[in-house]
Amino acid sequence: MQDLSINPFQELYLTEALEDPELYLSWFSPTILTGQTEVLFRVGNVVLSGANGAGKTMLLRLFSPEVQAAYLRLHPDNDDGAVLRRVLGIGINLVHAGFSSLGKRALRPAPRENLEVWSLLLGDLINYYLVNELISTLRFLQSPTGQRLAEFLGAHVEDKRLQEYSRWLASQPSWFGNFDDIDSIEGLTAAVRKRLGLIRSFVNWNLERLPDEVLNTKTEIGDPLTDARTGLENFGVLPREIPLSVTVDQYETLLHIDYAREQDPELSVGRSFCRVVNTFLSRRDPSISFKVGVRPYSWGRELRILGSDAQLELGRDYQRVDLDELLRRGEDTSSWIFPDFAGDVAARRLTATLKGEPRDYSDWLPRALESLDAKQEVSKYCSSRSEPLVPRLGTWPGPWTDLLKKKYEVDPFSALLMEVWMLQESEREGLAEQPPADDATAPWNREYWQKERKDALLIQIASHCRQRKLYAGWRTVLTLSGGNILVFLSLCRDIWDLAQRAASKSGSNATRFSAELQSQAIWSVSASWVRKQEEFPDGAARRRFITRLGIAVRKSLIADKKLSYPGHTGFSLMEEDLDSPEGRAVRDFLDSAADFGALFKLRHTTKERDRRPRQKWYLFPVLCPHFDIPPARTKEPYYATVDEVAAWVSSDEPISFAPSKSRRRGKRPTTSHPDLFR
Amino acid sequence: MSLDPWGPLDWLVGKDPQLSQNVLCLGTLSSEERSLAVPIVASPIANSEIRLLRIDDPPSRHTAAIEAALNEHRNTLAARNVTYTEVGVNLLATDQEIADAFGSAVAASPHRPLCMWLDISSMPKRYFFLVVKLALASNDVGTLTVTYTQPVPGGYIDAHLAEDPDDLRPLPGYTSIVEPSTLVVAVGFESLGLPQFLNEYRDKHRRIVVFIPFPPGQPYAQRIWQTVQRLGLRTLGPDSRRVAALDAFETARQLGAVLAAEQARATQPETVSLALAPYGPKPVSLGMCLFAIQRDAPVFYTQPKSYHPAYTIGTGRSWAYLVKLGGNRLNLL
Repeated sequence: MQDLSINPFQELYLTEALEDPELYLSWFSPTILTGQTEVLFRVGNVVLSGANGAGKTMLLRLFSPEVQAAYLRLHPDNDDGAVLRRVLGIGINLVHAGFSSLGKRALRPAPRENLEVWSLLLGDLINYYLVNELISTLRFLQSPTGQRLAEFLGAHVEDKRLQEYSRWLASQPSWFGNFDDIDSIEGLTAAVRKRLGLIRSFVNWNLERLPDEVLNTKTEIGDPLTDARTGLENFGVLPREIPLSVTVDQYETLLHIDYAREQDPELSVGRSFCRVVNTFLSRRDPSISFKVGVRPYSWGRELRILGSDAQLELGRDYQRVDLDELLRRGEDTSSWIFPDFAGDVAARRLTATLKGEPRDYSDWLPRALESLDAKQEVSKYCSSRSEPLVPRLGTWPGPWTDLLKKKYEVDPFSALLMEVWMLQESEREGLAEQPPADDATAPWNREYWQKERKDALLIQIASHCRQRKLYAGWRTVLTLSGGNILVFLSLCRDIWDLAQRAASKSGSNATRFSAELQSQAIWSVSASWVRKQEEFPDGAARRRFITRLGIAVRKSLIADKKLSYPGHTGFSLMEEDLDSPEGRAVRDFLDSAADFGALFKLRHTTKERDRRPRQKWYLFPVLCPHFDIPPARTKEPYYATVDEVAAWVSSDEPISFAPSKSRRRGKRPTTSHPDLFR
Repeated sequence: MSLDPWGPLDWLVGKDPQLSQNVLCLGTLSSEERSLAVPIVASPIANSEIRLLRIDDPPSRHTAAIEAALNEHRNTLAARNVTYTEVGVNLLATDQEIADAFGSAVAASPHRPLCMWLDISSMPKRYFFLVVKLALASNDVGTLTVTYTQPVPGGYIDAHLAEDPDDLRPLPGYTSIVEPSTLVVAVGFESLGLPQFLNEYRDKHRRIVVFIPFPPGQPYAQRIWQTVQRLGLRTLGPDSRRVAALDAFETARQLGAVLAAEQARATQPETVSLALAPYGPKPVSLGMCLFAIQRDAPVFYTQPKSYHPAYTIGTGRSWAYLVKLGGNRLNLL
């Protein structure tokens, strides 16, 4: 028996537990720190990309000195070693620090010159901001809370040493004489903050103009930080082998700073600001590693560095960790780490919250979620007063009818699947006089043939019985999560909430969540994620698009009685078409839909003879229950053209899939869609 | 006891002749009928200048409907013999462009010092927050009266009032380079973009205090509670405060009280700072704006890129808030 009164999944965000470091660290799952994510902790720049809720901020938090210190308080021996690394972290969240409002007050009348001056000023501002963060971190290491971390890092932060270090740092030429009079850490702190305050006052229109003392002493991108790191070593504050890691979260906010000019590579403030941050990475300073958190679509749109056409190079200037790629299920499920990660996250929440037995919750939730096989699912749909779906016995030749009838009495679902095969076969080559033996070798019993059609048939059966499709079981919850831990926690939270309400009504405490209860919670979460699309930038058009797409997929599945196209739960486009001038707007729309969890984007290994590279898109799994469609991505998707998808996006007309040979060839578009996003 | 200088527009401007001399009425020409009310009142005043910003949203499915409503409103103003200058600007204009729009409006008026009526009824927050700040600082503006016209009772449409929120950003002129310790959210009908904002702030190192406008006037109570519920905000205890929907000055004072309370419970009071999120009624937003100016507080918002053409219906009562008189900004806190 479990006490359901406290929902272990109530708080969706790991950061919500930060005030209570013990809770934070008992929630954090090091399972995610495997393989590719390990790169994050190595020396060198890393771009950590992932859609909303993928866990970027959670991972970047591990560099926070407060979290590190908390971990050491809880694990004095650091026996695990997976979570805490010997690294000194400082960071900047570009949204919280207000960087998205920079560049909008003119420093110069001419746009190009204004852009140049602003870009240099941004570099200067980041320099000052990071040095301020570093000083604050050193102060933290001096404090009683940070002392243990200082010992762990081998840092020596006694006041006298920091005073000498600060005097030296202030005297470096990288400040262009701005700190010549400074002789203490207090003076340095005050001067750095004064500079930040002056720029802020200008941005906030509290100053008539930016003082010359700022404009004439703009620092070079990265120089002050390099000096600051060098000084840490020279003055024995921090050993040489301890890397300085700088986390930069929400990089994408820079790209979208000036909506109107975003597409203009030369006059866009946002692009130029991205180039400033790129320049920090391009320095490849071995003593300073940048860890950049960004939505996938926003990375790669501007890779140039400031004042040059040189671009950041993957492998040379930075490594990339794509959380979406890592956590979502690909064609090969053997390397899929999400089940273990989600399982561990759930077990940690349960252990931290529940007081009763068992003590080990590693397998509790997967077992508590009732799952249904196809046979059980069909019996749920047909148990009501509605008439069950039965094979059309009279329409088939005698021996086939006999077999079908016999099979239906034992296993209605298998019989209906067999009839689907018969429908296909009668159209293809006609049915043989006698059916083959109904054993494992029978074509309708082949594992893959069944797998590709099972979900679609269940949808048809539920629809026939006027029931909503049921979604239940641990595997289903994992599939619906789409590799996104936030979605997973939302599903768990609502299932628990519903069970809690049901238990309080019945006066009992459940130990198992029924399929019906899970489905009800899942439908509700799904509907809320569809609505949620409107909360995100440009979300209204996306919500309209996914709604029409979901309806189209369902209609197509229900109408396809032969289940010839059960893969048409998604669509595929040729990469070269997406890269064409006509296709770019479609690509931007679809990519941004993937960033915000509306669509699921995958590389598509085409079965077409031309073998041209393609991309395929599906509704993000958690959205599927809202439309009563399966989240599974089996069989070939619908081969669409860019023109066709552009029309889906731009018009409010219903979407329909019309399979034809010409479409499968993926013709190049012939018209453009200037009003694509209206 | 002191009285706050606000009330019905006709009542307030009747209190002091300074409030209706050398008037520059800066408002908007929008698809909302209520945007016409204050210009119509200002028009007969001798020597008054009327400048209306036509704030164009990025192209959307509402563009044609908005244009039709604008034409209708131009005809209404012509029929009422209102002489005005229409100035086209973009909704997502830069800070500089907004400041230029303010600067050219002031420059076009021959009066010094002038008496500005800033009508925020249909003016997006990203415009009026900066304009209030600039007008308070400007030596050319001697008197600043902010005006606001309600729609008719029940005049808010049931559909989403706006769509396509931009990323979370500080409003022009209200940024912060230091992360504030407490967030104050004023809620209203529309929570567009607010959930993503709150998620940014859920980290409990930063408290979230919610301002709930009450009474909001029927039939809106339920709609506001739906927003509060949807956002999962606490409505009991010190994290929740009631504010009067029309009283901008009370909002500013309540913010002062929140700041004082936060400082009192902090071990280092000097590190306490408030960030504001104005999602509530316009007068509450004005209160936040005045507090932010006085206390240098950052203001964050997720600017919608498109507004419903029938955001509100009809014209209700017009209210006025006097924030600067005789060249002196009024001390509100």
